[in-house]
Amino acid sequence: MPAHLGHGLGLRRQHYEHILAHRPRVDWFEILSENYMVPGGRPLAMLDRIRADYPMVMHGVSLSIGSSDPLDRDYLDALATLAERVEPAWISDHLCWTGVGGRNAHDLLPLPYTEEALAHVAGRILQVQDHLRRRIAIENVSSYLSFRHSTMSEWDFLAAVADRADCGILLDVNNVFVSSFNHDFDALAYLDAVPRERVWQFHLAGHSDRGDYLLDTHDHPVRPEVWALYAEACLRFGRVSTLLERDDHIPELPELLLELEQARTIQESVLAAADAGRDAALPLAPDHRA
Amino acid sequence: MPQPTLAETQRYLWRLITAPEGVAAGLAAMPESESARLGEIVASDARRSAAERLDVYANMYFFRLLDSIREDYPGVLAAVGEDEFHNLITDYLLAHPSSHFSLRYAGRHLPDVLRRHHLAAERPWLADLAALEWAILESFDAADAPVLTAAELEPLSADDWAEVRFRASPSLQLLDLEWKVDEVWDRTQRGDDAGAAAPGPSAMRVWRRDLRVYHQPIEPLERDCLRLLLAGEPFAAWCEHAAASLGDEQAGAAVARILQTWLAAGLLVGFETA
Repeated sequence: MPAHLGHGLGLRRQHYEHILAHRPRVDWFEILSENYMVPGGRPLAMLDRIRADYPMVMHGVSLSIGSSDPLDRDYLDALATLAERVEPAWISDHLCWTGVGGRNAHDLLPLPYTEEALAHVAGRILQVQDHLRRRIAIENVSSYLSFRHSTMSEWDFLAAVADRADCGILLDVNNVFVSSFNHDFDALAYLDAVPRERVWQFHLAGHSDRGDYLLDTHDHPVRPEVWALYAEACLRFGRVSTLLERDDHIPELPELLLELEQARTIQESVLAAADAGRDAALPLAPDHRA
Repeated sequence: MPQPTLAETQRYLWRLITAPEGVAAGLAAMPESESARLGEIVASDARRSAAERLDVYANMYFFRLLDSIREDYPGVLAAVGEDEFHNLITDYLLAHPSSHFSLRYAGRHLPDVLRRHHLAAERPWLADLAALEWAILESFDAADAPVLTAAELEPLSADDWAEVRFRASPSLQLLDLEWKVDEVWDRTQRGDDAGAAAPGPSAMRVWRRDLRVYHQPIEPLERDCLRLLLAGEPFAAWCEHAAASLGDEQAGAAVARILQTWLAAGLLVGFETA
């Protein structure tokens, strides 16, 4: 299990100047790896300067671990090169596929939860870990459709992949919530099925309500229902490094720092209550069991 | 019907997610035996049909790429407007779906596409504007290299000058354009109406100094020397070229001015002698 990093933010270019000028109280930053897979210039210059002051984690969106295409060796080489530069606490990507036939949708497309997909994904994670010479963490995604030929639940699939590949899990609490609404499952049952010792990191983000489904847009503050689920996750998984993501309608950094403080407060109070042996003295009463 | 394999599932979904008119139109264009497979692969429920669920992904496919490419081409966007740009990217993605792992390169073929696109009938300078914007992006994150200074050239002997080859900044690009699109670009950057580009020809250099990207229209002699520099030709070749058009007497001074300009602008990053 990697070190506990505390509460971090997704590094976005809109905040470079503020970070360098004010060195805000953020425990760590998570970078989108692909944004820095460029030869040079401003992205890498800012990365190096901010890395000098903060721990970092590399989070990718293009590994396409579930694609039936061969693994992209150029991508893996670029990832390894960036990792040498950043020396991240860990590297993560998503339990999904992003394209097929040499094409890239740049989207996190869902997998059928079958034995075939499980063997395929776990085998590829092992190859990636060999290539990078380190274990990686794999993140559950939000999804909007399910496959008729799935033979297991998403949480059983995630747990089995992590077990077979001996990798970590980046548990996105918002994605659990979004998918639980979209597919009518119990978010707490999901949390209960995730192996505690494999959870290296949480993600928190906002989503959009599209009426009959929720969309993982990362363009809002974290919703109250997701804060409640985060408290439940803290209760189950303990002191796990937590990362707040915002990718659209990005506010000034101080606004995100307030939200990050809320995450810190929730985790601390849940853990303090658990230590004191009291049950479920959660700062936000979970109402999503209903 | 046997269970679809992972590869079959992905290829099938891909066709529908990327169908230009949406999932319903994509299904309508398939033989019935194929369109019927959607119901066997993707679950429907009381809230949304399988096609509607897939439509969520189809919309995200298009808009994610559109949003990325519009950031790369703010001048083209300002010149044609939102609706035309949307249609342009619809056409573009049919010809050039993203094949790179990074969104950064998704829009790289837009200048080529604009040369043949119907939008160019009214605005034949659009492809040149796109070429300028792509060059600016390429310079923005090109490899870093410390700039060569005039002081580093002081030790060169006359023999060295006969042999010396300069190395260009990795960010330096030469654009040979038919239209003076830098004026259009400047106007759109200020938020003014794009207007129209004046006819050229217009040669331009695009480069980065420290973290800032610059572009500058250049005269024919500088363009020719820049072409020689980028082809790896020695300094002597610039002089020979200048002499052929200006005569020996003026050529030396003209090439010296160009070299000084480039050193001052940070276009050169090193040299080799012999």
